[in-house]
Amino acid sequence: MKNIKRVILLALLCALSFTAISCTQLDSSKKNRITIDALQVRIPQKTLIARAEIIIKGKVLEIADQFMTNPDGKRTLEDGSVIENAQITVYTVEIQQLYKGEYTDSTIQVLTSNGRGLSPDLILKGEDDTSILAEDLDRLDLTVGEECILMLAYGEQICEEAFGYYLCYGHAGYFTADGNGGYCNAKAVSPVTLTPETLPDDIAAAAANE
Amino acid sequence: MNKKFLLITLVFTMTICFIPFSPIKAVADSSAPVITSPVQYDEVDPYTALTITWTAPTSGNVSRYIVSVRELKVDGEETGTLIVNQRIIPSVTTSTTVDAASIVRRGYYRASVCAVLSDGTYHYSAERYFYSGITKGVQSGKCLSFKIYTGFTDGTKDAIYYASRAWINGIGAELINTYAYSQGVSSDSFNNSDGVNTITPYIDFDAAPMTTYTNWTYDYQTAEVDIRVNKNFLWSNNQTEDTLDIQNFITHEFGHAHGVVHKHEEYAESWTMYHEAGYEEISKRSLTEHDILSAKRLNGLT
Repeated sequence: MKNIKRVILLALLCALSFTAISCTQLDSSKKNRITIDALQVRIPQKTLIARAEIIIKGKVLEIADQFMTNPDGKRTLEDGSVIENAQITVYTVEIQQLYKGEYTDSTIQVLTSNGRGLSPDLILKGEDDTSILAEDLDRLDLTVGEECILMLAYGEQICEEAFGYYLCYGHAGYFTADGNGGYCNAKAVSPVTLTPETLPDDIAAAAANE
Repeated sequence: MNKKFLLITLVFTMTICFIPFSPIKAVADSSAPVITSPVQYDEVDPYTALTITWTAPTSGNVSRYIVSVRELKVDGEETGTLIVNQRIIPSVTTSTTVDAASIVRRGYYRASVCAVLSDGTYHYSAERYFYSGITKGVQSGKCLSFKIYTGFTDGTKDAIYYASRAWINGIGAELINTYAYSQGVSSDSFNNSDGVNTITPYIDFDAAPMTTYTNWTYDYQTAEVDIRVNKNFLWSNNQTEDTLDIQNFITHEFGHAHGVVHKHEEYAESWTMYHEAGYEEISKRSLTEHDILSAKRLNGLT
């Protein structure tokens, strides 16, 4: 008799647990979800060139600095996702040729972060060095010794005052020197192609359109 | 002489005379089926069985049909996944159902039906393209009323109002609207799960010019929408050089509020829901028939 009671009790418990689990699953499936849609902007190549304040061909000399964006290395993006080991790298690039703009130093420092571009609030170091001209190229993956073409533009003065860096928004670009690869962080109408051979003509055409 | 010459002249003249009467136009394949549903560029409900229907060929003896459906892209990225792989349908049937579990992504799809005749020849229908989003449109019986940031200029507020009217007039139903300007939100922050639909500014140096956050229910209906305008870009409502048109962008974002997804294909460049916009562009202010069809379909208005 005792055993029968135990069995019934056990069965009852099992049934209750099953019901509880089912209800929990039902509740979780009824949670609302969120979708994010962003309308991107596209810019013709000639406009990108016209807006770039400095266009150079350069050679990467060294990694000048490297540091985490936050003490814990984590960075939370706008959509809530988190990048682990978010790191900023500052490269020193020797200028081999200046195609556009006024720039007198023989080197330029270019700044990038892994994962995605960084915002001024994440530039924690470098504030003391106000001479750096920095660019935010989130897919920039330079290696020492590499030659490349960089399309740069000054950002807001406020960034320099606050963080010691100029930042460029929306029309920074990095291209391999042979024109076989590249990336521009503005959405262009068609793939942007910058090569040493065509650049002077492209710049002249862009200037003529202004 | 001249028989040969006369003969050649005669043949040449006859050829010239008969050219206008020659059947130079391509003839439609009357032995191919014609897909009637979904219609071209339709937007179908996600997580819902989709019925593909077609009309039988007007000539030829059909022995069977073969149906294929392929998922071409998801969020603009090519996938090419076959979701219905050469399904054989008896000749007496002119429809088939795609399982609800097969259309569950924000995708772009292609369907085709082939008639196999008793003589062994294959005749393909014109390909039919359609889309699936994530939501089935605004929650049944609801209207999403947007609160506009009070700090926006009157010009921006007007542009938002006109954008809402474009959709209301376009689909013939008021599924979105805007509060009176004085009843907007004073904070530029937003909460995507407070039940309040907002249009607010923010600044993000990495983000796109404008972003829509859609909060959708477990049964895929849009419950709340918040739109954020990135102040990192220059905005105007009068096509000032090097600026983005606020009405152009907001009209697009209101499309998402209706559940409509981005279109990535070249033929859709002039549509409001195309995924990119240019500086000084205002073409998205005016809805195309495809934008309207999508919103109507998703919201049960057709």
